[in-house]
Amino acid sequence: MITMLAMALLIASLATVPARGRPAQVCDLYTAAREVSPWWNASAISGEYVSAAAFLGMAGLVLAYGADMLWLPIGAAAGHVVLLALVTAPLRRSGAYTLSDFAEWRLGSRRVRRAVSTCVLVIGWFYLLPQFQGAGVTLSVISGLPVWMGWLVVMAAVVVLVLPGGVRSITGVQAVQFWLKLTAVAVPALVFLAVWRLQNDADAARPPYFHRETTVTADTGAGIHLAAPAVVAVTGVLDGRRHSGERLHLAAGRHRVRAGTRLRFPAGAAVPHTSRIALLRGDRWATPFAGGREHPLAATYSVLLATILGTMGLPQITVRFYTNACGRTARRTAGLVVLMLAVFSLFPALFGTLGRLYTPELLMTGDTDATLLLLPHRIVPGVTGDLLTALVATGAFAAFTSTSCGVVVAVSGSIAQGLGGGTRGFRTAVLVAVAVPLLLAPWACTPQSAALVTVAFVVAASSLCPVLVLGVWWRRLTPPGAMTGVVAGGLPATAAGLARVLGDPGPGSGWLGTLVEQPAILTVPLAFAATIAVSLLTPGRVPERTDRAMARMHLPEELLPEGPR
Amino acid sequence: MSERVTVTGPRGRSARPLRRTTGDRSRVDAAPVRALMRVQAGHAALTCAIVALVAGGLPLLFAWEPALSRVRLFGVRLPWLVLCAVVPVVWVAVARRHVRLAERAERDFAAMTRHE
Repeated sequence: MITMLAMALLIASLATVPARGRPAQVCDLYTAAREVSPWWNASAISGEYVSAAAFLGMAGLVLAYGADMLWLPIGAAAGHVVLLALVTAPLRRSGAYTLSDFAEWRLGSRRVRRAVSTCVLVIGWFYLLPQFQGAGVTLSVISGLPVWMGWLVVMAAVVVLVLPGGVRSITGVQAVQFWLKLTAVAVPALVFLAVWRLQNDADAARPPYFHRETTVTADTGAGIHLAAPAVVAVTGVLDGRRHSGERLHLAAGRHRVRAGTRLRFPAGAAVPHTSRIALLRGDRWATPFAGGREHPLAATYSVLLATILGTMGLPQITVRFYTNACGRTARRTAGLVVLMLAVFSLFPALFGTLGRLYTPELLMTGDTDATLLLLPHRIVPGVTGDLLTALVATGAFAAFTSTSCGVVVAVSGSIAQGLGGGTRGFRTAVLVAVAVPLLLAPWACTPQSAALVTVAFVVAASSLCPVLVLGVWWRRLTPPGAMTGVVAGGLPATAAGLARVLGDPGPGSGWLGTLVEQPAILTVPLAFAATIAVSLLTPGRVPERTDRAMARMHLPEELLPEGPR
Repeated sequence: MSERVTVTGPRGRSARPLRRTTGDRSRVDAAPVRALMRVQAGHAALTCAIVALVAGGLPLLFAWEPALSRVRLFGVRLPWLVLCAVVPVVWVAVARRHVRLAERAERDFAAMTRHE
């Protein structure tokens, strides 16, 4: 296992080698030194976007909740279509490097800049948290090390990569890593499909078993069915008798577990099926809106709204378009990104379905993020499985490092001015951006990293999306309007996000639970309404530069009159 | 350490103006810009409308007609097939179309200003 890990890390670090360059000047910290071709840049953007959440998390979500989770990759790709249509070319032509720069340039207000920077920082934190979590799960699955080791490894990699070189050193990393990630899912997918076709009843022929020692806590009183006898350490009430950690020899067949009882299964034990798994199996799992959630249609629309509109507010995505030479190539890049993400959106469903068959115990452990990592061994045991696991783990680490690097650089670029500017401001900002999610990680109790990522999307959609869209297309936007919108949408979205991350995830209670879990359906319209209303109420505050700004954003570069911005 | 760190302004050949469309350095004639913006906004609105129709319509469709979920094509349930195979293709097509239309609008606009 350790050698496998070493191999995985080695390949990942090899992928980063071509990108290491000379020590950078201040401006190089923020922009790639050369202009990047659309294809290469689109690879980098896709590499950033196909983050830990997409790579590991979405397969896990599909495994757990089935058809209802297929909307996530749909929304993710659609978000890039909307980004392409509304924002890409004008944002590139504005010449503003970060979202904060854009807000200040468009509205001429330091206060709006500060508000936007704060949002960027919060979004970055919410986005980094699941990257760290995913890294922890990956490391613990393939090596048995504690999860916090994974957090530290990714954080160290990010600091080492980002501090000396900035964007220039990571454009190459991300582009290479996108193709690494695509290989890491495509090759196992092809192998799995081939094997699956050869042994259609694989799940019945080979009962699933635990690959590592696993503690399962029964959260509801449930009957479990053991397919084979197992030695289990029980803390709590089993079959009507209280135990305190002693090992029991459980016969095959039915057993009753009281809620809160912990069962520790040794590696190799057969996986018990709970009544809960049986309930979600079959038709209900495969049918949209039948998974037993409350208000599933509203929750789905909320997720779609957040992912589609939140994409443009992700700082690490918008920054990338600056490495294109002009608005036209930026637009072409965005078109290619849609293509690359469309290819990628096939895989969560495939791996989730296979996970249902081969790793059903994840529904009891809750570690659904581990689906992709456990599948190779289950489906093709032996050396092939080892190699595939190494490949997937490498892809996963590539996802964590590239996404984390992108987020950290973008966030730091945005907030560095507020921290003194220059190289020192940038480096302080890097540490601020990395430290908070690291402190937050032990307290986060939502185990699914893809669920955590949606929180970042919600905040982005509710705070930065109105500023961007209205800033690009609406002449009557005023600084007070933008400010009000950012606060009115960003604050409730952040509060709901914190409640989601730190609170008990349990089943939501009615509409309030649904809204705390997926607030976008409320906060996004609120942010737009507040921005528009306050802008209309303060017509005297429309910035003088508006006409010039509009010309600069919408005219092709070669037609633009030279002059002050 | 108070230098501005934003890297802005025209870079490279593409940013050099071929022709000044408007008068002096500090003022921009808003009318042609508005015209181009209207065209581009129309394309953008249509693209977003298609996205909204697909992303908004499909959940409603599957919620109203659960029987659709029992239909199988090539052994795969219809919602899975639509969401994983059809919709991504629609997104790619919409994106390609938008890029083409937006570039054509810019070319037309450039040709128009050159002939003025």
